[in-house]
Order: sequence, then structure tokens, then C-alpha cells
Amino acid sequence: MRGTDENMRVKSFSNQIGRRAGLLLDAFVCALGAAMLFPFLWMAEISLRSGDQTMSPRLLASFPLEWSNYRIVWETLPLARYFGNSLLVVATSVAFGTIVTICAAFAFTHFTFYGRKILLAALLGTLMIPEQLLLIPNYMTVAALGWTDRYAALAVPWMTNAFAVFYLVQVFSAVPREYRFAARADGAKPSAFLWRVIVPLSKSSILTLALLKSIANWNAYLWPLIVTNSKEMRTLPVGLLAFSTEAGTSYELLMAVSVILVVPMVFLYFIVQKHLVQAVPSVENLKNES
Amino acid sequence: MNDKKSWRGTWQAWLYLMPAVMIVAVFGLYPVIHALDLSLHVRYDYYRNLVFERGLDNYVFIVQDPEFRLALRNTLLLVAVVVPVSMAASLAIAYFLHTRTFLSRWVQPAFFLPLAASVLAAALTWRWLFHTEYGAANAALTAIGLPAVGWLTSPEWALPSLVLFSVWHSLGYNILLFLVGMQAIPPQYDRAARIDGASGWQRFRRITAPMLGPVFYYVSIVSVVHAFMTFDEAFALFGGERAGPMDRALTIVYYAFRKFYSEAEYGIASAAAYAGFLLVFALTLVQLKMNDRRGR
Amino acid sequence: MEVSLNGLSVAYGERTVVADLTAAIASGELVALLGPSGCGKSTTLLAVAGLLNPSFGSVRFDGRSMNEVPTELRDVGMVFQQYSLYPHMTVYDNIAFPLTMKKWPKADIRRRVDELAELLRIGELLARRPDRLSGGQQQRAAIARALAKRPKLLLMDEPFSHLDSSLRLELREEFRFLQQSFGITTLFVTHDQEEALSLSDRIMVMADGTMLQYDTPEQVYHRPSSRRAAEIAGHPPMNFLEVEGRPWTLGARAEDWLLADEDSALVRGRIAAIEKTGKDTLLKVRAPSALLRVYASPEWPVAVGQEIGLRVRPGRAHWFDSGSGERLAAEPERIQAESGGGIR
Repeated sequence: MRGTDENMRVKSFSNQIGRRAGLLLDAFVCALGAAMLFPFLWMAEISLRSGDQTMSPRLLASFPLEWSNYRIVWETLPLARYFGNSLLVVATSVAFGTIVTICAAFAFTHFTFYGRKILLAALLGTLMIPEQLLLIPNYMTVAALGWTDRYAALAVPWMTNAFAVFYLVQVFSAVPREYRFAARADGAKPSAFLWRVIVPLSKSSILTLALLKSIANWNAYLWPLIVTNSKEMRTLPVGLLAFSTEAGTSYELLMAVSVILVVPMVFLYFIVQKHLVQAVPSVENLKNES
Repeated sequence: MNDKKSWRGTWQAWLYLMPAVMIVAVFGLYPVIHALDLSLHVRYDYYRNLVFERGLDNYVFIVQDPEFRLALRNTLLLVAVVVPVSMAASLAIAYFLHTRTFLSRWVQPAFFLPLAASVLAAALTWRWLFHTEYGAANAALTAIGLPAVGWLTSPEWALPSLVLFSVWHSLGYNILLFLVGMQAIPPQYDRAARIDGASGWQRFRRITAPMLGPVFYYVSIVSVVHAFMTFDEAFALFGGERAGPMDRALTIVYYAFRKFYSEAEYGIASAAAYAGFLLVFALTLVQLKMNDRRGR
Repeated sequence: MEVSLNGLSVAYGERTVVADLTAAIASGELVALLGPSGCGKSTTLLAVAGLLNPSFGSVRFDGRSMNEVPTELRDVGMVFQQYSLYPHMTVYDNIAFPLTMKKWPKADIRRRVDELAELLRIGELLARRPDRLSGGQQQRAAIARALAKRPKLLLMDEPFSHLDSSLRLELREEFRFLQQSFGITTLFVTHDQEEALSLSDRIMVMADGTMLQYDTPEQVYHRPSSRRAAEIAGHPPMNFLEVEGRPWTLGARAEDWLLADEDSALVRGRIAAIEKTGKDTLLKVRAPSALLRVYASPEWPVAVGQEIGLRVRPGRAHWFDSGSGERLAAEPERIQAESGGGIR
């Protein structure tokens, strides 16, 4: 084949009209990208305005930037508590959840056992169920378990789900079976094989899963709202929600809290993004082949 | 994997499965049945956990309730607009990201970032943008000579505002799915088409689009379900008792939530939620049937 | 350790992949499982390892049935065609792995790994990851790992197939030397008949899940028990000619032909192609009923398109029954010589 990929790309736009249309398309999509980011830029900008300038539609309404907003919200609201709650819930939920999911995926991929088909079908079935339907009955369950207003209610239900399990099943299935054979010949029990071979080989996918779980967990506001009563148990999103009814027109403070909510996840996103496109069900996740 | 079922293997496997199975069973499967049961609770004492009567009364109620009807109408409108728009836009953007790799490296984060950000935070910002007097949206409109609009305050614009926000919010995930689907298409086909002289649009229509079939299909189902069960976006955007002016942004799930959280009518709430679920499930089946007939 | 297969059958669902294999492997013997793809040789190997379960029959180690014994406890070492080494571990960790599983003390592990690394000549590579090794080095490391725990049985599934031919030769010889010095019973799967013939003490020739012949390389090569076995072992493939009017098939290898004149020629044909490969000259001769591959001696006058008469070197003809493919006694030769060339 003549030429590299890049050459071929340039060639297709080599005529005048083609190139112009290409550039137009580029500009258009870039504009769209900007539109996507737009609200977040606004969010950050508003959070740095002084109170009297909040309601101005102009960009950079107040200059110099009013960093004190952050200090204000940190002091007036129990943000530290909210942040801490979110952190604790996410950390425990994701840590345990990942382990649980790893174990389940391992069972599906490396054992033949009675009930495998049925279980797989049931798991598949849960994929079809929208989570909003589960809200009310789960609340009842949690209340019955006595978990209301406790960390367990926030962490446990979302530790694992069918998506996570299927994702890891796919990843684990891609591990060549020779490694299993070699490990068995080497005298490795299933647990040794799982933690010493499969998990290290699937590290990047597992990490991606964990990060995605973290993001979802951190951002959840509805379930924590339902399940917590007291102020101390609120997670950050719920705190933000509560504040939004109190804040009135102090948008700059509201946005400050929003920024605090969003920034950690943006940070996490940039870590995940390299792997993000491969994280969605696809074939090759293993980069290390001899 | 051994090619024989064994009891020993079974015992071991279930040990590994137990935690996950328990969690999914308790919080993923059981609630479906429980929700159905709850929807049938007609007379009950919530605090003493007693149910006195079961029946279809709740369903009867919601069918007759004008509030629910409004919610149903709003939801269907939402689905009808958001899904096609979002899918078309994401498909186009995904195609761009797929073919213009140089630029896409920089632009990609812009589209996926909203996935990482809390919908609540985003909605609050949009609330500001949509502010009738001071919002940037109206400022932009007046700047080009158009009249300002009561985005979140006027009944006619409540639903459109929700639509806009929903579309914006849904792009990230849909683009991701399409992008992955496109990357799974072996590049040889496209290259061969290029050599044969096909233009960009032709290649898209003849090569990329048909091979995206399954992905498209999956995205459409997921989008419909998500749009149908819209609540997060609406609640965050309008927040509170009234779902927008005159409840014009009331969706089925929003209705259910209100009944449950504010009015403590969990029977009716469950019925509404379950009705919504059954409807969207039926919709999904219809989509499945349509695809079966068309594809083959 | 002696290994015996007793009526071993392995099935995948409905399909029987290996049928009724019975054979005994003596202690310290290197037995090659030779056959075309899909003949069941790898399956047999996996069954001996315990990674696949027999549907009938058994595998015995020193007379003891292994049917209920899982692979982890069978004390076997395995080497595969590829993906032998754990890619995320260093070579050292790879070789040490079976010992780690046995919970050996660190010092002992260190000693053993160094010992093996020296034997396999990969001492400087211990800190590397497999992706930074060449194919040959990887397989050395894989062999080291397989031998680390001093297993009673070594199982290898086409370990040298992926390597360049020169590397293959070198590794083969080294491995054979090691295997003999350790006296470790070895089962070796290969589709390369040259490898099987040069390496093994005995060859088990397999096709379609059954064992065709189990004998020393000499016997397998010079007295193949059936037409199929003759086809499998030997390159270029044996030439076959049907006898007109009789249920006999004559087989003769490419190197067993002599130039013949009108009267003594068994078969006549036209040279279709000549392949010179360094030391050999291979002729493709188109005879009326077959395409023959024949090695020409240097003094033969050969040219493409030329007519040529050939006969088989005395004593080198193989006779098979046309129907069953089984080897016949020498009788038919006499009859053929009398009737003077009724061969087509």
C-alpha cells in the first residue's frame, strides 16, 4: 500500500472545495466542542465574581477575581464534612466494589459450574432495568435494614452491577488460556492465579473501571438525598442541592460549591481519558503480549 | 476452564460469586418485584409496615390523574425530540472525531468532560445561563436583536429548556459509544473505498453507517430508555416542588418522585414508576422487533 | 516416571477428539506426538496434564490413575507454543513462580533459579520482562520454569514452532541434551516430522484422534505401519502409485528412486519442474496417474519437459493395502516383478 495513513488523509482533501469543506467542518465541530465546555467555564467564572456582580451577563464581570467566595462557602457550610463524606463513601464503595466485581468476573470466566447460564441470564436481565425504578423499593430495603442515614446505605448498593461485571468478564476472557494452563501446571490455586496473573494483566482495565465507578458514585445526588436525613451525613452533591434552595441569588457562592464538586472528577477524568475509549466494550485491552 | 462441570468447581465458583450476586440480587433484581408489589399497595400504614389492601387502584388513579397525564405527555415529547437530535448530533461528532484524528485529540476532552461532571452542577450553571433577566442566553438573544425568553419561567419554554439541557448532557455518552463502534470497523474497507474514489459523505453512507448497525441500535435503545426516565436533569434544573412553571417539565419519574418524597404516597409513586417502566419496556420491544424486520 | 494411557478418549461435547489411545511411555523417554493439525495430539497432551478431562479411559502415572487428581497436584511441567511466560513478571519471577507456589524459602528459590538460568544460558536476562526477550530466549525461560520444581513429567506443546529454523535446531539440540541428562520423561507435541524424527526416543503418530503407529523414529520412517503414517512422517511426502487391477498401493520416498531405462522402468513420466535446494535436486515428475516427487542424483541428466524412467531402489518399496491403507507383507513385490510393470 502506497503512502501512510496521513498521506491518504491529505489526499482526500486535495481539491479546493474538499479542503474548504473540511476546514468548515473542523471549525464547526470545534465550535461545538467549545459549546460543550462553555457552561463549565461560566461556572468557574461566576464562582469568582463578587456578590454584586453575580447577575451580570457579561463574561469576567468582576475583575480582580474574587477568590474569597471559596473561603466563604467553606466556612459557612459544613463543606469539609460533606466532602469528607463523599470521599469516604466513594473510597469504600469503589474499593470493595472493585474486589467484588473482580471475583464475580473471575468466576464466570474461569469456572464451569452449575447455574452459570441462569446467572448470566439474570445478570443480563438487570441491564434492561432503568435505575430510577429501583429507587423507591431500594429505599424501603435500606430502611428495613436499618441503614438509613448511615454510610452503608450510600456505599453498598452501588458497589457492583451487571455492566461492571460484564466489562471485566470481557477483559478476563481476553487473557490467553495458556496462562491458566501454565499457572495450574505451576501448582497455582485459583486465587493465586487470579491475584497474581489475571489482575496484574488486566490492571489498566480494572483501574479504568474503578475510576468510572468513582465518578458515578461521587456525582450521585438523588440516592443520597433519599437515603440521608441528617445534615452530617450529606454527601457533597446533596449539600449543593440543599444550598441551592438557600442560596437565592448568591450564584457566585453556589457556583463555588459547584466547582468544588466538579473539579476532583475533572481531574479523575483526565487520568481515565487515555483508556476511556477502550473501556467501553471492546476487544483488546491487554497491551502486554510477548 | 475445565470442560467439565464439577461440584468442586461449582462450590468454588459460587464462593467468588457470592458477594456480587447478593448485591445485585438485593439491590438490582429484588427491587423490580418489590416495586410491582408496592405499586399494588392500596391501603397501608407506612410506619407500622402494614398493608391492608392490595389492588390496582393506584394504576387507576394515575390514569385518571391530570398531573400524570401531563407528565406522560411531557415525557413522550421529550423522548421524541431529545433522542433523534442527540443521536444525529453524536453520530456526526463521533464521525468527525474518528476521521480527523489530529484535531480530535484536543477536542475529545471537551465532549467527554460533561460525563465526569455532576449533572447537578451542570444544571445549576444552566439555571444561571437560562436566567430570564440576567442569564447569558437571553443576553445573547437580545444582542442579536431577538426578544428575551423566559427559559425557566414561562410555561412554553420550560420543556424546550429541558430538551436543550438533556441533549447537551447526553452527547458525551452517545459520542463515546459511536466512536467506539466506528473504531471497531476494520479500516481496510474505508481505505478501499477511498482508493475507489468515494467521497467522504459517500464513504460514510455506504461503509461506516451500515457497519455501525448494531451500535446504532444499542444507542437508540439506551437513549430512549434514558430519555423516558428523565428525572435527574429535570429535578436539577428546576428543583423543588413544581417541575417548572405549571409543571410543564414534569416527567413520569418526576411525578413518581414527588408522590413519594413530598406526599409520602409511595403506592401511587411506585405505580407511576412501574407504569413508566412497562411503557419504556414495550417501546424497547417495539424497537427490537423493528430492527429484526428491517435488518434481515 | 512411567506414564501410561489406557483407552484414553477425550470428547468436546458431541465430538470425540481423541479415541481409545493406549500406550506406555517409559521413564526418561522422550515421546513425540506427531500428526497434522486437528489430529488430537494437543488434546492428548492436555489430558495427560489434567487440563482436560477424559471421557473414557485414564492416564496413569507410575500405575496410579490420575483421573481424580487435578493438574496442580500432578507434578508436571509445561511449555507452550506461545504465551508460556507471564508477561507482567520478570524472567526471574517467572521461573520462581512454581517454587513460590510451593512456598519455598527465598534463598532456595534464588539458588534454584540461578542454577536453571545457567543451564539454559539465560543468566543475564533474569531481570527482564518477556517482551524484551527474543523468541528463543523466551522459550528457554519457559523451559527453565517448567523444570524448576523438578517435575516427574515434562509436557511440551509445539514449543519450537514459532522460532526461526536455525534457532529451532540449536534449541532442539540443547533441549535434548538437558532432557537426557535429567532423564525426565517427556511428552512432546509437534507437527514437524523432522523435529519428531530427530529428537525423540519414540514417536506416536496420530491422525483423526487415533494412534496410527507408536515406534522408534527408524521404524516409523522405514516401516510405516500404514499409508497415512507414511504420509505424516517424511518430507517430501511419500509417493504413492496404485497397482492396476490389484488392491495394492506402492509407496516410495523421494530419495528411494533410481534412474531406469525402457525395460526396467517401473514408471515413466515427464519432468514438470526442477527445484534445486542447495544440496538437493527435487524433480516433479508427471506420470500417467500420479505426480511424483523424486530426488535426483547429481549425475542424472534432467531438464524440464524431458521424459524420464524411474524404478524404486530395491528393498525400499512400501506396500499398502489400497482399501485399509495398512502395510502389507513383501509378497506383492514378487508378483509385480513377474508381471513386469503393470503399474500405472
